[in-house]
Amino acid sequence: MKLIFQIYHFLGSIYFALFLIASVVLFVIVGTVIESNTQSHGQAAYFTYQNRLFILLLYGFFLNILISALRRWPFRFKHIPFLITHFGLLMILAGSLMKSYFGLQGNLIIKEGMASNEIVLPNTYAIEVTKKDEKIPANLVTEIKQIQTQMKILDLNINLISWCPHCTERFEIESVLNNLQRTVVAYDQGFAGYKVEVTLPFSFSLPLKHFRKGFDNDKAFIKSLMEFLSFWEESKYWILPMDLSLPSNIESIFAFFDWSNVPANEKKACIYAARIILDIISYLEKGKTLSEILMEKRWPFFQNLENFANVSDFFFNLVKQIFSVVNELPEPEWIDFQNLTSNVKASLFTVWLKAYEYEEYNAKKMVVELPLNIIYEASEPLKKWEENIPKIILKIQDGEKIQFTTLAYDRSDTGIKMPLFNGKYLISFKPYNQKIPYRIRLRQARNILYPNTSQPYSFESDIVVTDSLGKSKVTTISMNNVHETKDGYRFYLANLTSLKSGLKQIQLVVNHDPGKYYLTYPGAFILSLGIIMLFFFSFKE
Amino acid sequence: MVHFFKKVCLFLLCYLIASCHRQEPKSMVTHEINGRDGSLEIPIFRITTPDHWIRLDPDKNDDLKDTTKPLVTFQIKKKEERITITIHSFPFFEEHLRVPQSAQIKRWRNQFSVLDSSSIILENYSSGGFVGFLLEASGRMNEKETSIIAFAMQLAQEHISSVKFQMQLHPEKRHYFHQMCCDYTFKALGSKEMMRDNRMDILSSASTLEFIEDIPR
Repeated sequence: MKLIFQIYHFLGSIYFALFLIASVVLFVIVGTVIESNTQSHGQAAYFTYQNRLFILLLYGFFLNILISALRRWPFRFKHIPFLITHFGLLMILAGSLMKSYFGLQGNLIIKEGMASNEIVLPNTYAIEVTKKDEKIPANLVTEIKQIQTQMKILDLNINLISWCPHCTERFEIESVLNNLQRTVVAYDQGFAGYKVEVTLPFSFSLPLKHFRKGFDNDKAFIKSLMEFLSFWEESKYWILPMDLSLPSNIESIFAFFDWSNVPANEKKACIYAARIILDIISYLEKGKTLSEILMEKRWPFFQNLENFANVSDFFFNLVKQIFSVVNELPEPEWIDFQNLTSNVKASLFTVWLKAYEYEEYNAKKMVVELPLNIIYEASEPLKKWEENIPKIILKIQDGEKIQFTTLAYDRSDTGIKMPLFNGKYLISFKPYNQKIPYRIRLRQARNILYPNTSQPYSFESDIVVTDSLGKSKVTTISMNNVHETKDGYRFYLANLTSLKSGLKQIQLVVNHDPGKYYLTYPGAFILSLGIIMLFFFSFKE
Repeated sequence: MVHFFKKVCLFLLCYLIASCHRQEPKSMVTHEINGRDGSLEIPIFRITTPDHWIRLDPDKNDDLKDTTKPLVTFQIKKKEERITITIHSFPFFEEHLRVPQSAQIKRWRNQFSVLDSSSIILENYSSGGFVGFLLEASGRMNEKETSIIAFAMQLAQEHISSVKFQMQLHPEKRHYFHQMCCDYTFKALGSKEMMRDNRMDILSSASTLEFIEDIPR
């Protein structure tokens, strides 16, 4: 009994309070050092306030404050400020403990026009399998190290063969296409696989039949063509001059490009256009202006030269005009197209390409379609835990069939889902999604710019928040304007990005503190009241 | 001490009163707008406008497959003057059949007999899952000084594949079919002064034009 009394006395003592405060200070120091060394908030949080020892300290504080108040029993009038202060502290601590067990923090990523009531919980790991004809994904949440035993998702038996804490992920693609714009496109939402579309830096409406021989017979043809087009773009010439030194493999293009099928009048127009444009370019290089050259040559375009925004625009129209009147022009000194030098062929080829270039407002880019090959390479884990991309290798069994697949962690749950068993399933390795009682629809997201600049100083979004009863509220959130619901859900606008088409996508941080309005805020009020009473009123008996 | 406490209370009261001024919000009303693609009974869009805007629905005998006829018209009246706001939609079932936004812009610009080039603002714009352009311009039209605020909007490419996929998956849900067919234009036309006075209302109403049903993920 004496021991119990001593323990009770110690738990409510100032010594225990000092021990707790010193321990918390130590935790905070450790957390600060970890965060400054690793730049990882997640790692610091893991060792400090998410640590079980730290939670135990909170319980210690709760006991210490409770018992120190109870030790005043029987309570007297003079104890009122002291008791109110301690009651406020207990409520705040209870609120913190409640949040650590029942609170929620996650991300919600939505595009304009879409809605979602599922948030992505960071630092959780889930394998999601979607069966093509079932429409609803089966979602299994688990710690990564616990996937080692066999699991069953839908009809699939899944075994973790191996995993590594961090990997890099890259597309395998021809080096010549590396600098070009790439898009991953899904066939049948990914069930039928993916392709990579590489957009060429030119827009043409070419009669592709002339290229068929090259595409059919020579794998190097497309590579040579890409290199030639890149060379042309980098050269900055509108059409290539006939005396320019060219890449060595250019011959392979003309070996397979079928000039014989190009109509004679187009070839004739190419010769005229090349000669006239190269002539004009040579004059321009000598410092003459376009109007001076045209007046000297008595070319009729000079009369409405102001209609052309620049020289390229003029050349473009000139080529079109030559192609349209070519039948009226006298026969040139005929050239045998098959026996030309590479430089002359290249020059005429660029004219021919320009003749088929679309007008800018109607431009359709030429796109090359390639298979999607992803290479995962295991790497040293990063100091910043949040940026690690874990990789897993799974053995998946569907009845008699077995398939192995490698998956990298899709942190934002917006990446590609890999097809399994010839498109019967889709599988992904991602954070766990949790439903919240609010459906958020993004109506519009905006970058707010400094006046007359393209520099953003803020961003804001109009969202429609629909609760579980179907009641909707339209609200605008911005960097410093949070939306808060009555039951303690808070929605912060964390990020805004523009997608390829100009559509906006936002990331909301969703935070739920269930005890905030019942414990934390009233506790803070009661604590303040107790402090005021301690300072300003005397409760002498 | 009590005197000091009173002073603190007075300060806090003044602080609270000073920080609680709010502008009265305008009275708004949400309209549902039917589609064009042979299913006119089904509302597809919704828009929130100030309640003094007068809604004019199309004549039921009109052939709404004719894209020159608006889905709905709103009017803002002030004495003899008025602003007319029309919303058209342009159904497409093949992507190459979509009306280019540049063509809409060109058409609107050509409606002016004289266009004040310094007044032209052409911006990229996105809202409600659509992307496109916002055109603001002033000039002379039908011998009157006129301003235009117009949006040429198309369903974003990112949404098209997911809507198509849901159409295959849920052929019974007709709203996916309707969502595929809903490139739209929103055009407000009126006198220069009246358009200037109502500009913010027009822009904020246009930003609320959206599908009634969510676009699928």
